[in-house]
Amino acid sequence: MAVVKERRASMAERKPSFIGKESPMIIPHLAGMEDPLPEKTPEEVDVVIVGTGLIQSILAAALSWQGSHVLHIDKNEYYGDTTPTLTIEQLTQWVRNVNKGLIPFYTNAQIYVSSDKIGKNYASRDFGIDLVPKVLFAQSDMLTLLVKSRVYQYMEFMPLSNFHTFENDSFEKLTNTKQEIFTDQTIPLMTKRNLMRFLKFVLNWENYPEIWEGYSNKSMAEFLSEKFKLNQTQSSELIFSIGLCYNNDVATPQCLQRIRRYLASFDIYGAFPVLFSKYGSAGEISQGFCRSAAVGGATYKLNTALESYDPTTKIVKFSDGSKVHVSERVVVSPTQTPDPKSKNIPKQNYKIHRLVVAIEKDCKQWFGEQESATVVVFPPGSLNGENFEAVQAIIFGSNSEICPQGTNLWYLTSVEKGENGKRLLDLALKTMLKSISRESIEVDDNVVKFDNKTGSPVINEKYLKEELNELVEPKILMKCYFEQYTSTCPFSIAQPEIFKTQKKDTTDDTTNGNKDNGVIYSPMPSSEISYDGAITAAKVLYETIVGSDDDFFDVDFEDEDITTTNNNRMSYSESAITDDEGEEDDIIMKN
Amino acid sequence: MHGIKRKNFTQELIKQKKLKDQAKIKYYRELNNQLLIAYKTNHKYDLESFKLTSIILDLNPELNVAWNFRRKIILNYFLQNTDSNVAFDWNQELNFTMLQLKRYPKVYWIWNHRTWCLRYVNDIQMWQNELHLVDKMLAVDARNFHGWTYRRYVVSQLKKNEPSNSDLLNETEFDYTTVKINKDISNFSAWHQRASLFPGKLSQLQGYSAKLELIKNEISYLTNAIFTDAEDQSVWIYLKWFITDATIVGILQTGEGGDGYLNVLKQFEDSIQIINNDEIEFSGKDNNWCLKILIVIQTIFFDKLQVEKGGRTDDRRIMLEKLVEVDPLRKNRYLYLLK
Amino acid sequence: MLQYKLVLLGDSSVGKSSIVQRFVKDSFDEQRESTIGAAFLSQTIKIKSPNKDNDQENDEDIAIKFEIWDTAGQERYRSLAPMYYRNANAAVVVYDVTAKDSLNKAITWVDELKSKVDDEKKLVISLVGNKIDLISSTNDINESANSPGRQVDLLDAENFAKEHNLLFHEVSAKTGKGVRDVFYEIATLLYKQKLEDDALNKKDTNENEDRSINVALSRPSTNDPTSCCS
Repeated sequence: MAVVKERRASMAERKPSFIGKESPMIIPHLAGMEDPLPEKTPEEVDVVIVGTGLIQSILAAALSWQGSHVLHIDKNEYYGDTTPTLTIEQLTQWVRNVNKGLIPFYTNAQIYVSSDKIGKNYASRDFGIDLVPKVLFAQSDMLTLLVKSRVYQYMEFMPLSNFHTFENDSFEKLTNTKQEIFTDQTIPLMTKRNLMRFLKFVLNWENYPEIWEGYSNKSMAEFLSEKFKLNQTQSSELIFSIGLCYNNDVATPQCLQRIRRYLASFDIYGAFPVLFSKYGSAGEISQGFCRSAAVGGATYKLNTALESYDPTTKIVKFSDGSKVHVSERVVVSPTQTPDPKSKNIPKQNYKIHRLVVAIEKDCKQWFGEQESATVVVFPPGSLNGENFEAVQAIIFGSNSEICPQGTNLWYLTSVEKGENGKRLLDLALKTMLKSISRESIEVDDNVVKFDNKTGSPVINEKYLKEELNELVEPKILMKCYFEQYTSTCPFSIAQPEIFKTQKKDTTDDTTNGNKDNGVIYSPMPSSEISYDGAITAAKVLYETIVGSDDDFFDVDFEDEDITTTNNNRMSYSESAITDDEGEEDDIIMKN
Repeated sequence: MHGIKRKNFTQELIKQKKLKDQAKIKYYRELNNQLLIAYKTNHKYDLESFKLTSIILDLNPELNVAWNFRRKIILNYFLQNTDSNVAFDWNQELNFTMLQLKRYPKVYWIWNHRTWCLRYVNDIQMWQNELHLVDKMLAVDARNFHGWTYRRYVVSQLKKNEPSNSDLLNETEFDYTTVKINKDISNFSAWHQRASLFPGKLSQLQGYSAKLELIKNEISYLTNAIFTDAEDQSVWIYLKWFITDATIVGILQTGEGGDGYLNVLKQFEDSIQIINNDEIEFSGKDNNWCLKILIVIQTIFFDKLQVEKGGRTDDRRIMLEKLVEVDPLRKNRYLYLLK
Repeated sequence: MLQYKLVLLGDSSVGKSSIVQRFVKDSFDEQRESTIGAAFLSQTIKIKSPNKDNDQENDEDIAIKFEIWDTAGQERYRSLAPMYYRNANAAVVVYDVTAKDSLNKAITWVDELKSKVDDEKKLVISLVGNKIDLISSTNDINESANSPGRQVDLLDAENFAKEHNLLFHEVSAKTGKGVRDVFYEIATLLYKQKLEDDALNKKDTNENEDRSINVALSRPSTNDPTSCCS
């Protein structure tokens, strides 16, 4: 039976003080909600959201700004649920809980913490480890929403321009801008032409169906080699490092879209395709949206678990004994279900292997100038020919503020099927460790000479090999591996079907005492390295609750001093102090 | 637009804006009348009129009559007056134009006034500051044609002031175009600048082999460029200039037993043909710039160098016919040439 | 312009927002605000340079800009995110002089704050007792419990502040009494701190070569679409 859900009343209709405002409504600068906060847990709310992960947090903020009263809880003492940023202590506890079976949809969690370093040279809280590390494309719905919702003002962002591909036993930095292609002396002339032609094409690929239509069901590698005569190295850079695809089977249109995502993101905020948030990835953005939701009127309660929901009385019970009546829906993270065995939870069929390592080593040579992060990709087959899926790694240096000076955090991810995932991640880790030790040997003049003409370094292989014998691998401070399950198939976005309400009509189930009848389960994080898909998932949930996503974040914030707020946005990390007077006028003649 | 805040123009706001605009227009018209009367009727060259031009130019920098008036006031009032209290502050005047340029970088009259000031003072330090300023402007908008024209002008003034420095200036200016082209191969102004600097750079070099090496380097730079982007006209126009410039041709012709020039042309012809064939294979169409330059090359071959036609066919007619198709905008010109 | 992040702390309904409202807008709305703005409020104030002898020409005013973060209600169930405390330069911890237990609660907020920030020594904390307008003019502590009156002893609060090196004020957001002083005192202290830091940093010149760049999201690059396939 198809039930057409009635569109829910908008905020203007529900909150008298907003009546008369034009749509999209303008939130007054002092968006103090008129009623004083109640002293206790509210007795009646519109929506209860359980779990403060990325998608739920976006949803909470969207609903709050739409005018719904949201009660947002999390059983943990920290924000983030499936996408938190954790200290080493918290991560250790998390691993313990996974192994005790307390956190569904994670398996095989293991952690090593160097006891002679952590707690001595470094503190546990010097580290901010994301369970789901991500990078942010400069042109993406997430970035647009961060700006629109003003959540970006709570955070700081840094650029990331260097992408590396591991190929033929070495890490190649991508050549992907027109400037690089033009000036790189090592690229053959015809290749320059082919690359440029492809880059031009891909920015408007839908407009040239005659070029790609014949390849709709064929692999991208075939397309690149036949249509653009690009060799294997080039096409693998395009598919895996620029497109960030997992394997060679990806269909051409899908891959073109992903390659464009990268290229179109160039030069939006500067000469880099992606950014990342300091102090943590998805964990930080989750916190930001939660704050936004709170400002919009949502109530927050950590350390509180969902006990049960009764879809007939619409009463939600919590672990602290409190209860609340819900007028609309209850959204629950699968990890915080009151009943892990419940059949209502969508099947989480896809496995993601994740490895995070803290190492005591500088990796500056991999970063762009003044940057503190890089992406390294191991295309399929590049790990002794064993990996069917690409291994993606993000490396963060200490300026990202998620690890102390002189250390780095390496995040490796794979969607390899079967039991090989962990071994492959270890192999990729080993390869990178070997490479970073090799690259950072104290180079004396014998090893590297500089070409007089081009100024580029030329390595003397003979000396290098001698030096290699004295390699010392960097110290591993912490290493944590786990497997996460998701219903979102690699490379895709969350399927709307999984949000369908779980059996509202529950004649047998209520007697069986299912504690989660009638709740909506939110999706587990996908394997996607960017934030793509998160907002789509939040929107689908939003639509399920509100009836339409027309007014998803349809707010404009009144801004009295937009110029001051915008121009003075600055880093607190240095000193919280800048002198921004006088800098603007540097073009004026000096006497 | 990315990250740029959308402004909601409600009916009320639009109304307010209209009212505001009306008042503005009225105000501007009044000022304009005042100015014309002061200038044309009363020839009132004084501080008050000067201030009036500042106000009106701030509103509309395109009003050249105000600039003219302003200059008259400077010449006939400030500079005539020996009283030190009204001594003219040229730096302040330059700042005035700078503020204007920041807002309206493409208004010719502002540039004009600025150069007038600089020419009048003609101080080497001022010209040097000017060059730094152009650097900054072109860093913001590398393709601003005014910026490039102005840069050439400043350099010429610097050379005039310090002839001994002229070689060094040529050198740095040439390198500057390389940097800008590397950043953006389609920077037409930079290519244009390069063409104007190349002969000077060539003549600075002593000895045939040094000159030849510079030319060869440029050939490889150009070849690189046409392979990187064969759709961009800037490179082709530069190439066309390069293979027909008398100085370059002269140097090439003395080498390789007199065949130096011919060989370079052949080399370009080969490259261009490779590119064009590749284009045909990919899109089924000729690249019109390839055809155009091939015609230029063949014209040099057959008309100028009188190359014996043995072993070579004159494809110019065929290529022109193709051009009629691939470049319909200039169809009539090609048809004319075919006759 | 110097810019500082200032966070508000204290239990719900002690009047945190009213104080900021009074400071920023110089108004007080009895029915209003439990929480503030979309992101945070900012307010710039000018203070006199404390060092008269340094080579400041004409003894110019120093502009100090506060970026003020309100708890947005997240304090109610002790659910403030690390993001809230991060890089705070100053904190105003508020209690209600007419609520008996509220000083004790403020004290736990001070502890919480100190445990959450990286460098607690640099953090300027001001303990602020609000609602002195509700104390009757006789200032009689033994007033009956029913009539609103002082429930937190001035000396207790003052002593606690002294002991823990906090600034201390009693204010009324309603009448505005004392509010301005809270922020000017913080500003002056922060500026003093900055001068000391500057003096120290001069000694080890440019030690901090390893600078990183942040991206200002409010301003997309205005560069020509040059570097990539335009």
